[in-house]
Amino acid sequence: MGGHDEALREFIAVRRGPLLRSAFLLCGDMHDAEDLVQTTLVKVVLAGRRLDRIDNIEAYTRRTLMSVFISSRRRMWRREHPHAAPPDTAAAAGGDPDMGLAVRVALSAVPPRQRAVLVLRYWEDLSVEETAQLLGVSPGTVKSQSARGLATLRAALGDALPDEAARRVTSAEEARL
Amino acid sequence: MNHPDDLHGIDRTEQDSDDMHAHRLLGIAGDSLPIPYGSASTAQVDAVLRHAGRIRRRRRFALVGGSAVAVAAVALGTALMPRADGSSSALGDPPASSASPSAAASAAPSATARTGTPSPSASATGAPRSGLHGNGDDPEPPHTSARPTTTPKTASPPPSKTATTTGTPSTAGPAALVNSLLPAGTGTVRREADRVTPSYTPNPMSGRYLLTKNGKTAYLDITVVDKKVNADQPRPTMAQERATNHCEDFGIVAPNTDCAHVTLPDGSLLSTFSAPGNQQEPGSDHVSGPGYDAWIIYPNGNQVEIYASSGITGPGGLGPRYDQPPLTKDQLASLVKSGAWFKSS
Repeated sequence: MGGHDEALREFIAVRRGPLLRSAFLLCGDMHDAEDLVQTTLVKVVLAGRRLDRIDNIEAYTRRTLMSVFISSRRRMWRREHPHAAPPDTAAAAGGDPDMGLAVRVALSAVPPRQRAVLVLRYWEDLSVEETAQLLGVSPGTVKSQSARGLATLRAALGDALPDEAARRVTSAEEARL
Repeated sequence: MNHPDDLHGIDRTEQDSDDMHAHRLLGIAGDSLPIPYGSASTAQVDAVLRHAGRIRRRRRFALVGGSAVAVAAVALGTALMPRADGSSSALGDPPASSASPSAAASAAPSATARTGTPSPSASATGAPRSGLHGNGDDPEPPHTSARPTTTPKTASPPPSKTATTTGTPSTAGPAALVNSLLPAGTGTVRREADRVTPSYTPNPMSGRYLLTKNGKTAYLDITVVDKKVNADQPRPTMAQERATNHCEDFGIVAPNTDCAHVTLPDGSLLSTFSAPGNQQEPGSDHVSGPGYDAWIIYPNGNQVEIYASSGITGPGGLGPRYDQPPLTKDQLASLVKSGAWFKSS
């Protein structure tokens, strides 16, 4: 049991940060992201004895995160509105802070399920098939939700898009939908 | 609106370009977050574990599963074993424990003393996501390979001190007792090897028991908590259990159904539920079959939970499963109420 506990502690320690980033991209709010990750990790811990036999704890945790996020959005849908500026966007740690902020604001305009697809596909770097399996939908659904989500994202970004090529992509996506 | 498959028709290069831009956008959004890279602090980890602990205490057990020394299992199993005259199957006996402290001590887990051979199927998880059980982690004591007869009381060998001290494979032991308590035709009983050493003293009866019949495999996850044998095993109070909803939908897998709490005439609390199939962990390749769960808590704090599953299929599973759970709900309720579980003490 001691080994199990240590492994669990290590898993939480290593995965909490990356999960928090994903959670923030999903919900656009640090407090909500903290709650989301806490709920997810608690569920993972409560899975307890089964974790020793879970084939892919990463996938289990990701799916739990997405499930908690989507179900929480159902309950909180009326509370959720695109933000003019996301709360809790203190000094950025790296990358392009202005662009990052703009993308996160734009993400909040994307419906939750499409947002989940975008985060899994383009932040977590999962394939279409992996994303489909994790969300329990078909690869075709992942592709269509991804395309729609990106169209919404880019439309919301507007002039903030980093280059003309990206804007051309937006037009192409909109034409396909 | 285009059909999703229409996307297959778009130019590959264009799609790749889309993906690159999307990766870039999400990468900028994620990388610029004010969240430090690196491991979480000890306090943050502790916060998660404390939160889980509170829920666990409030709602139910989260057992990792029992593990026992094979020699101790044999010793206690021998003590458990029905007498040759068949007079000690103890069905219906009150669940009083007669265990001595030394018996409890002898059942303490020891990774070095385990002799059970891990089953290839041990990686499969089919347990429902609620309940007291949680095994499949116990050692398989001396291979109790087959149900000896449909009249096990007379077929079981008498207690043998030799078996007790040497751990010689025998039909005696926990699997033999389980075998003796099951209805005829349930299947051949053997105990699955353990994979986890719990932090508490496991009851020698606790563990996963595989049932095989006609080339198909089901299983029973049995957890026994006897205050005189394994008092350090975490357990809920009757009030906590009564307040627990085992059918709560966590939104991860299909929830349990038919949850019920019934107070028996002797003051015991019997909790039951049905577990649908497909309750395996998300991302797992194997598929759990449906099962039933019964859990009794006696007024003195002793408890027994048994989960009867039709089996686990798919990679890492147990092979073809039973068409139905190996026991009916009524049979399971009778089994869990047996006083025989406490005769080992």
